Amino acid sequence: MNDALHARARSSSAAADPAIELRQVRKVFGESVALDEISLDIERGEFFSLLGPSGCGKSTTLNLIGGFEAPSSGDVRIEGRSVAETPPYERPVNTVFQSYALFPHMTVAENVEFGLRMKGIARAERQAAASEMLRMVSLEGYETRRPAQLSGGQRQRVALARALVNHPSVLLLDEPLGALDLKLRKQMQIELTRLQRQVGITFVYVTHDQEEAMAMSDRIGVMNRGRLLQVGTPSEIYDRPTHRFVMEFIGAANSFEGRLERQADGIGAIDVDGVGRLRGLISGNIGERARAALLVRPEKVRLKFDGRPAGNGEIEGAISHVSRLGFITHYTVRLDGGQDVLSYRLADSTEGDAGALDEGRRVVLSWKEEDARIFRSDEES
Amino acid sequence: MTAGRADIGVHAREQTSLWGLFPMVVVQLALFVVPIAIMFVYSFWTTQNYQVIREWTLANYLVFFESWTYPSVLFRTLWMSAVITIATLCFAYPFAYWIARYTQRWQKILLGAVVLSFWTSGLLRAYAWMALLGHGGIINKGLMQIGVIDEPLTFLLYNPFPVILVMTYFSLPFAAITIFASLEKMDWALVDAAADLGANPVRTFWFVTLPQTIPGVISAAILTFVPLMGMFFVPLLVGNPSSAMIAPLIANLMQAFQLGLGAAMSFIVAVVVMIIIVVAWRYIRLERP
Repeated sequence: MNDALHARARSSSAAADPAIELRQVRKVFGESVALDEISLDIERGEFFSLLGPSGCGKSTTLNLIGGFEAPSSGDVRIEGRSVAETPPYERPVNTVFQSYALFPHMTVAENVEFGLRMKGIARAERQAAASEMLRMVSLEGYETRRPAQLSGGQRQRVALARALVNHPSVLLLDEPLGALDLKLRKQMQIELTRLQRQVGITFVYVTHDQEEAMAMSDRIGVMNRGRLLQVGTPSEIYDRPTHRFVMEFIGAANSFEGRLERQADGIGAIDVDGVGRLRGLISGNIGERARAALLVRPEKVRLKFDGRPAGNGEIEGAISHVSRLGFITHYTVRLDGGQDVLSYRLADSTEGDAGALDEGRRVVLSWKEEDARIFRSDEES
Repeated sequence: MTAGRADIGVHAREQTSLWGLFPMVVVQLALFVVPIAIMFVYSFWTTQNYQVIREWTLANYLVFFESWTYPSVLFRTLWMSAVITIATLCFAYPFAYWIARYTQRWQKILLGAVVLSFWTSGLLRAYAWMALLGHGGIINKGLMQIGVIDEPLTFLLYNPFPVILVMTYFSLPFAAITIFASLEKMDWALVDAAADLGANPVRTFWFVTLPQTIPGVISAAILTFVPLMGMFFVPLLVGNPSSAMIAPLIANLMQAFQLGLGAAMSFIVAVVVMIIIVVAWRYIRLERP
């Protein structure tokens, strides 16, 4: 897949320039800072997701690329060209809007043809292109329908076809699956990635759904409170988060607060009242004896129900809740100090005696120290 | 099964809600249907020496259609009303657009200001315009004062120009508020979508904004056009008496006790107006799937 990506990049003209470059972009609305010094390169042919909670600035970033907002300072470049002075209708990007924004007074075909019509392309040619595109999104035969006669999923496909038919340098997608039900959303996720590979256009995808971003993207940019915290592949973001927010936003995490004590090889330990001494990898700059938080993902927490804690980072508690979700089981363990810790195990796990892990059972919890991460606990985001 | 039950529910609700129409039906009957019917009856009677002769005849309609003057007055009225309607829409649309799109805090105050003009009688406002436009009016005096002209401008009063000007001014609030209502319902994401797809602002307006608000524009056109067909004091006060419009003419006939002819002409105007409304309605219906 990476080879295909590079081949595409080579074949396009000025392959040296990224599709999108943001340079120290700031956006201020009145008193509030919507974007704080965002710098980001999005490569050609890449499926890039901007992920974050609502109000984190991801949609604002998309609007800056689309041209619907102007940056307060900094520069936005599309394929190496600064677009500060370029209105939306002259930018080589197209958008799939959250509400789809299909023109209600036009047929499906007229909607899809609109961009080509604005470019002055002859009727026959644009009809052919629109039919081809509608076939690609499995909507052939719907040409003469009106948007009001379509289901949500079909409208979504029309919006996609209407944008892609223009062969933009970059396609911007603003939570396009947000209005669909879960099953359809999963199906569209697969279809969108397939379509993106097929057309080879750079996708910039805005979502607050971390699973969606993980499932579809080549790379993800995680945002919070107007800042871009981490950019990386889904596995980098998941396995090596650089910020506490990133770790907690993507997937679940258990957290423990305490004061940091540095040890060798980037490993730190924190003493947690009533729990004991816990170890993990230190992320970022944290001062000795500074307040820190140790986070560990539930699937990294191992459960043993026989034996006593060996003192080597092992902690003890009692199972307070078990939810069996089929292939995976979630255990909530209440530590003696009163804190709850989550642990996930595959249902067919042979480790320990699974059948005996019922509510009330005393267990010992442990994890590998490189699977836990220590962040500054006063970290802003 | 469930569908059947839902249907029954809807019917029951429709039956009760029909009673809500009762006051409106009474008002419509008393103030619209009955007067039109009386007028219709009168249009087949004639008058002589201030006496109504209750004999059924088509004489009044024959007088109208056989004369050259009456139909030409009707056509002039239609033509003038059309020009004024178009002028009104040309002013009202940008104004309504501006209020809907670019004013937030001031929106209510501006709309209030538009409605405010209804607080003064139309007759007074027409006289006010005469004071502005007349030979000794502010415009002529002012222009002569600063030496732009030596003699008062004569086209300012007693010709079609002031009629169009004053009636456009009268119609503007109705049209602006109606168009504003349709712009307010407009989904502005469509405008962004058009820009995104390469349409400059002019094309965005032509291909998206205008088609989206066309029902409002047609409603505004009807609200402007129909009262214009019946407007009599403005052409009387500021227009040229020799190029009369139909309403002052009917008023004259009625004052001269030509009740039959007046009623026939009123009825002809009413039919023309109703045809226009029906056609416009059908167009709005067709626009909305």
